[in-house]
Amino acid sequence: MTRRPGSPLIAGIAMLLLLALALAAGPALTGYSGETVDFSRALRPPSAGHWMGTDNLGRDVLTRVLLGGRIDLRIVAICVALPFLLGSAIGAASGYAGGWLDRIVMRVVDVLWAFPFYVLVIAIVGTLGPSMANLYVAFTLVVWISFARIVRGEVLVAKRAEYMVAARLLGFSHARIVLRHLLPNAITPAIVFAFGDAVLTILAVTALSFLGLGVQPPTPEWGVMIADGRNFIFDAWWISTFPGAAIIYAGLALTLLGEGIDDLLRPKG
Amino acid sequence: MALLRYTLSRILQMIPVLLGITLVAFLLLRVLPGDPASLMIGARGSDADVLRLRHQLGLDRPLWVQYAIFLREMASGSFGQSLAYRRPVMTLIAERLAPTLWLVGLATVLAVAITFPLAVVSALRRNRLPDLVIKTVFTAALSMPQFWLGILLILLFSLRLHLFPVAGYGSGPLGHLWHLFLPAFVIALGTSALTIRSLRSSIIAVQTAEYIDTAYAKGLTGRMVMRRHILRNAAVSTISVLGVHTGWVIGGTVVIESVFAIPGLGQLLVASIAARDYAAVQGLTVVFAVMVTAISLATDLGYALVDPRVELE
Amino acid sequence: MTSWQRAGAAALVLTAGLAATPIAARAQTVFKLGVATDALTLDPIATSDNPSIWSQLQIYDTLVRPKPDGKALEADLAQSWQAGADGRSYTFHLRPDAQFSDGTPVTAADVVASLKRAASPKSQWARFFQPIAGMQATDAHTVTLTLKQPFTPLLNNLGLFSAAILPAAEANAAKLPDMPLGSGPFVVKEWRHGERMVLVRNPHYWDHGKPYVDEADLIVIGEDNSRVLQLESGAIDAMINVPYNQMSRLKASPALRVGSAQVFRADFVMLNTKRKPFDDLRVRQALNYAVDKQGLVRGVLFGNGEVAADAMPVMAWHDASLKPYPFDLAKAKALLQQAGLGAGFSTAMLVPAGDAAAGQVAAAVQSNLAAIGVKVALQQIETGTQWDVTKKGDYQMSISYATSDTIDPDQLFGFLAVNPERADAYHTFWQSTKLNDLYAQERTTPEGPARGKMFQQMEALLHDGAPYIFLYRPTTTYAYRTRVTGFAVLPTSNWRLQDVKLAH
Repeated sequence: MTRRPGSPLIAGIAMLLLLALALAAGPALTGYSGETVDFSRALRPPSAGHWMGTDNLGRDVLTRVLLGGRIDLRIVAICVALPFLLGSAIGAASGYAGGWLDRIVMRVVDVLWAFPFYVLVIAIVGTLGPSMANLYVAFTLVVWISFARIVRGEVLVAKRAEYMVAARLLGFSHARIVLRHLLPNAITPAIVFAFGDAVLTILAVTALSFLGLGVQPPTPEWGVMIADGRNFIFDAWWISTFPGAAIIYAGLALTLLGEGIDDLLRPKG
Repeated sequence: MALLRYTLSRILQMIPVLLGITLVAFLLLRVLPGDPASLMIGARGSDADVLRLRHQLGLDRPLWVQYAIFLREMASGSFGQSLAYRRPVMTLIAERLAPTLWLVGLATVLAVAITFPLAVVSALRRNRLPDLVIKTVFTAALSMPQFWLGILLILLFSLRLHLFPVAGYGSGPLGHLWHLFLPAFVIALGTSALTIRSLRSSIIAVQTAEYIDTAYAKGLTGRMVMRRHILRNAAVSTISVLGVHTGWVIGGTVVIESVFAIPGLGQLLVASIAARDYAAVQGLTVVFAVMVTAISLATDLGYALVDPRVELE
Repeated sequence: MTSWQRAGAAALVLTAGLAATPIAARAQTVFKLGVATDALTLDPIATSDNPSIWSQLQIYDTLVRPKPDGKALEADLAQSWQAGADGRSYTFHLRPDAQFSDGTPVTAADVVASLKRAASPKSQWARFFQPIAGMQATDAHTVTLTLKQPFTPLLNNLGLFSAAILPAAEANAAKLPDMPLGSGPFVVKEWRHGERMVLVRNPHYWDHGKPYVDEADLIVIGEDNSRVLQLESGAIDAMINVPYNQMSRLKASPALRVGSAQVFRADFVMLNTKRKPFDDLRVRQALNYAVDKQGLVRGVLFGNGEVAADAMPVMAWHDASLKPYPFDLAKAKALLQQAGLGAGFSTAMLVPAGDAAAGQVAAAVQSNLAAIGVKVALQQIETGTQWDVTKKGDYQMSISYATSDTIDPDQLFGFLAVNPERADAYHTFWQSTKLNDLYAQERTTPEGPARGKMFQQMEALLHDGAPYIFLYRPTTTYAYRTRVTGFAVLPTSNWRLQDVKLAH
């Protein structure tokens, strides 16, 4: 690699930090609440007073993009963390114990693997009813299989490693072997995968909200804002364009960060 | 002979997976809360009407009986009766299958058309300008929400330039291709972002492999080596890489069909969810999963056929 | 033969088939209407969605039908009818020339079979026809219905799509939900679910000369913007449900005309009067004063609607002099003060998921009420669940709306304002004995000004009692190309495609 190894990592972190600062400031940065409805200010194009214009209820679009970012990033964090924890735990247990437990887990993984991601998520969210909590449930039920596969594979390899044999000879308990020795080694690829997964998650969450199956209006959320602004694309392009740009920005930041983490953690061969 | 045995064993392996698929699709809608009968009756009926409808739909029977009925209906090919449309689910699915297959097919063709040359260029001009440009563009493409890209493309190509229709499926093969080009392109772009990367690294791996050195040593020119060995191997990798992402392509149609108003399976799934149409959602999830399973079987077989190095276990 | 050639051959066969109709001499005229959602079924007694109703009204006739203004009935299959002096019988005289689309005559036996089917337990609409105690075909073209007691709304109920007349022999046909046989202006030629329904003119339709077009295609285009674009490009001739904010842009286009129909719909926020503080009339009225309804009509409907004085749509006998609660924060605060809630209170409001307009209304109501110290938490809820939750009384406020299936105000009053009757005054649990009495009285009073006066009193009682925050009555928007005449959305939300003409 002629490219400096840390550059995507630094770029990704910088972009995310900038975003985090803006989101943390939120309404304080813009001076609008983002929720107060004022029909006399409706549909104003971007200007010095409203950098991203106002929507049809007279709410400041920039403020809502910032409020929406808080919600989207929180959802993404939870929708990645829950399957990560569940999948890694199941994968580690399954790989370490082997036997019938492993066979059952792998059968379940095989079956779930056959369902296209969006089909299963939509079916679950649709049945439970659209809400933020149900998004967490759906993503956890669908995405854990990826983490379980990765961690199980790593555990199988690590089990045969020399230090493991040594640990077992020393008479360490199973729990200690798994938690202190196996997992720390097996978890790295799962962490790398989690960052890649975060990009797909932000796209999926906004897509579901856009379809009316995720976060619901009037909650400011990027997908919801695009759906809401969609009928205004001819006369007020700013309502849906800025949330769209925000998704790309966040997606790009997460992609770069994921690549950087990959470069950092994954041994190059 | 080995290939035949391999095919048979792969098909046998699919049976428990298929059973599992039906079980998941069935349980999904029974275990999770929500009552289709009360939704269907809505504001116009009484509690007694709801109970009667529940009975009529068999929702008051034990779970295992309902599952047995579900399997029987699937075996008979009807997949049960759609609650919302009041017609056999299979009829509904049969009507909507063609647009989705066209979309998936066209998206795959476009994805190959995008991936193949760009990955080769990227690999050959590794870490130079073309590689960096391709990398940057597709990193951005990967971060772009497909539904939003779809809206933008409609705005640009259909509204401003009048090159493509704004929605629908068209009639006749050419009509389908014309109507489905933009949505297929959106899906292909997202898929290519994933496939270009893996193909690029597999070409690099092949390039440095020993037999390529041998080929050069035999006196073949660079272009001939490219054509005979590297591209051939790259083609094989493309098949397998695309196979891995089939689930992604098929899943992507669900969102894209809604944006482009394509009367396919994805739109039917979203509509059936909204109507709490148990039978239709069940049938659709099974059909989607079977599609993915069948395509991954086909890619494995194709891979085995094309690449002599694959061991048939 | 390649599939390409096969498609061409199929097209030839189709054209040849159509050419056999009597109007072969001139070019086929095809009217293309863009709709947002496809019908689900064409079986009138198994229908509860609007697109199915609107499609059925092109295919079936009823004995009587609403006039285009939605205020009274006119003849349809029955060319005349009489009510018995005691209000306990109705006699209908069928058009002798009426035929189903296969050329068989419509007889009294068909009418009796169809109405029996509509009143049977498997009908979702049985309640509307159960007051009928006896149905007799007196002769081939005369039907007499008898009632146990007078029930004035019955006649209007017979104008409902669910009272559609189909051939007695077809009542249980398996193809009924897809390819029914009716005596209406059009016949289904092809129905590609989710895509389009192709209707062709019924050559046997009793209203001779109509329909004017040979074919009417209902084309499903779910995406609002796509529907507008297809109309602008000429791919379709007309569309319904123009996004409100695009109405002024389309109006300015020389190639298009737009319409905004006052349909039977009113939007409101339900208040659970069993719960504190909504049991206090002053609180309910304060909320009505505190919401800027004019602002909602401007910001959400873009002027396509009017502020509502109560929860009823504008229907027959509507009292136009009843004024809405004005936007008056001082008055709202004073009322809360009197109720001992000068500091405001916290509450929660159910918002139906997947309804963009409801989301915007929720944001506006929340923002408005904050100004009088009422803090509203929004709770998203699925429409199916919303019904169950409000029915149990497990809520405080809930955004909803009502539409009327019949032209008789009786149906909606019974639903929205009478407790218990059908829905405990639409789950507000509000009760006015005076209104309940008027309702019982109105149902047995013959149609006329006396009955109208009762409706007006009921409307005023509903306004004063304020069991809802009354919001607005939205219109249904539509647009068509200038070559189209005779297309309009009626107050009953449907359209009569037999009146549509196309200029070349």
